[in-house]
Amino acid sequence: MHPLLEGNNTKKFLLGNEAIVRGALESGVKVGSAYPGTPSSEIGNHLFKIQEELPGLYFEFAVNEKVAMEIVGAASACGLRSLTCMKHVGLNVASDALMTLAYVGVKGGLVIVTADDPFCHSSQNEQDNRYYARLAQLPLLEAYSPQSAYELTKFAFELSEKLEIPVILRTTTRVSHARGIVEVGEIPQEIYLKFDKGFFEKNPFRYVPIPAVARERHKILLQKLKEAQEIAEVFKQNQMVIKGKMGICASGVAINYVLDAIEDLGVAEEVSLLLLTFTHPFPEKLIKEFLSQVESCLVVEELEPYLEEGLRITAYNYGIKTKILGKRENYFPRYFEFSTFQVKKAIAEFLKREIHLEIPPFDFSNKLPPRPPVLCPGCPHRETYKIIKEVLQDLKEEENTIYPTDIGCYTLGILPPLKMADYLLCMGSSVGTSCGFEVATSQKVIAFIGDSTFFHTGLSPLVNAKYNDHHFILVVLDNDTTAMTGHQPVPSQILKAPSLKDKPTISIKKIAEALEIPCVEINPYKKEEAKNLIRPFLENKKLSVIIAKAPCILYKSKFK
Amino acid sequence: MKRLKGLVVGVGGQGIILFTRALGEACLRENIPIILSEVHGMAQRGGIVESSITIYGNSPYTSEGEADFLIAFEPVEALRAIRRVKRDGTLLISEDPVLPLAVKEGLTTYPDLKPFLEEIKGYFSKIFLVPGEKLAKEAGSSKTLNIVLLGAASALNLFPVSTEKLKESLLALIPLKFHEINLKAFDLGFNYIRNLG
Repeated sequence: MHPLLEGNNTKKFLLGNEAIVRGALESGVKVGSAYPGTPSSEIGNHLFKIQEELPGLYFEFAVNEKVAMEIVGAASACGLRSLTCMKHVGLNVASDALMTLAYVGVKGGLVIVTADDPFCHSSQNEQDNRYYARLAQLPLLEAYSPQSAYELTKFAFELSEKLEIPVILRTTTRVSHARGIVEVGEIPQEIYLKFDKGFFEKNPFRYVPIPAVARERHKILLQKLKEAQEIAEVFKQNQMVIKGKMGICASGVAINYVLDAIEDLGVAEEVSLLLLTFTHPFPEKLIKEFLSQVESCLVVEELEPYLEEGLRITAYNYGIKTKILGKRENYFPRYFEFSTFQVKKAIAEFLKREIHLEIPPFDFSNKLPPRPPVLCPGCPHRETYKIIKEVLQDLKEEENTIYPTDIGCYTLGILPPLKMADYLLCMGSSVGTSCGFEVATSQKVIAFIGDSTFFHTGLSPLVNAKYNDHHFILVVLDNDTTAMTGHQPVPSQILKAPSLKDKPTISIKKIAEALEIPCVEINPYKKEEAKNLIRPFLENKKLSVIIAKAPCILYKSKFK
Repeated sequence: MKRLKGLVVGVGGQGIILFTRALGEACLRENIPIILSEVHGMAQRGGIVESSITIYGNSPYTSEGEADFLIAFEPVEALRAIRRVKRDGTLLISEDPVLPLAVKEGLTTYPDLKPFLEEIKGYFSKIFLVPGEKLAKEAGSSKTLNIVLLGAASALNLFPVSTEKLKESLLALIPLKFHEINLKAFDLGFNYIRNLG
């Protein structure tokens, strides 16, 4: 039995992401879909696996986050509880669907998990997705621990179903990848015995947002948001504790740092606290009540001053003179994740306390060899890079070539000795930016993209390249899997798990051929043969596709 | 209860996650609150792995000057994390280097560790170096380094859980066919520390 299905009404030691899965199953989630992305990936991985044991659960890895959002949107319109999860930048991809899904609304509860990544542990930026809730005008819940992630997931389904709009559940890396003790309830076994289909009740004047419909739906959404605000005002997990005249307001993982810091500083009995989990719509009355009982309030939140701005607006609206201190006063930066020490220091400064913390007087950081992540020994990507590098060296074009790259293990091609990554924005950007480079320079352009990233958002820019007559060489590193996030399936895979044996294999080569783009497939381990095959492509600048096909060595080892 | 904070550091593939999970499950069995955080974004590809541990507290992060114990699966990683340890904290370090790729490729060198260790010995009084790889191989596989260190940490009483509970939790997490080799690794680590006298 899958470990997340084991045990009812007991305590389990769970990762934040696992707690979300457990909470979703206890809520009777029927349909899930996602595109993997750290730090959200474990949610999809577990649901994907668990569906093998629960006939009443359906989960699919979609080609990208937007498709996943559309799948769960439609499923919830049929009355089924649904969930999608993604990393913060994944919501950029899904945002087009999200913005209007908020208008047309849902029937079955729909939970959208966004896992943000302060400090860019495994991301290209550290955007704060709480602003998406404001932009889409949807309720936002912020988890701060595995236990709260579990509880908020359950609440999110109820709230979504009650208001008939999606609910956003936001975690960060330190919540998704924290492991802690979670008190779980029961999974309703009977609803998972078989997949009971829902039913789509047609209502085009709700579900088809032509302008006249959209105008009405926007008003309805704002009305629902008002109802959500009433719920947020009295939500039990928005905790207010009044003790003294100095107050601290926090959300997300910072809540833990505040709780430990005030205990360490010996001020737990004199500081008033406002710890928030339901933060959009902003619980204004609760905030007003808090602010009117303290003289100063320190706001502790990672990344953007989202709460801080809300507090200032509330104070202004109600004419409250309480001093609000936060990022504006440089108590905290707007970048990176917090450390416990940083929070303790800021609170000590706020309360004018001394802290005694002895930090070892050593700094060896410059004397120790770095250990950046590297391509694994035997990785086929390294072979492909080397082959292309050597042919370009023969042609004396290595230096004159721009290498747009993409998101995946192969981004590590940036490191010496390869140094074959020059420009990157987001998933699929290698192909679109190549079109731009080709227009703007006379340098040769060779772009690199992985198989999964190609299907994610690389396919449509390739059509653009053909149609608009752009000329560059696209190298698709097809390793049969979505390697970096833990080997999720990909449409072009040949080597596949038994449970996927009935899935078709979608050939990238045939796609290129259908677009009438010259294409060659190489085996990167057959160096000389591969060099001879690609040389004619690299000798000119014409649009072409080189597919380097060899399974990821870690993925391959799972089949031994 | 007094808060206890720790840090486990090493390199991707050394089995840190199993180490901390065994500790967490043991705490769960003994009803002791614990929270960990694992940073393992791209670690599979040879990067640094670290896990913060907080027992009797809320924060899934251990920052500068906070760790009551540092368990390092690799000596350079111990030095990299050294500022996060309390003066009276315990350092348990496996002394075998894992060479970074940049060293293997000759782009940089692996430092002589002796001067560093001499320097920190003047500050910390509880430093325990363990021949981790030798003990793991003796148990039957160099892959059991994590369990050797779990046994050693238990012998040092770094955690508020009994050795028995720790072993029990560990075994519950691994397939039956690996029980014997892991128990052996645990005991080798445990006895190595106890025999230091």
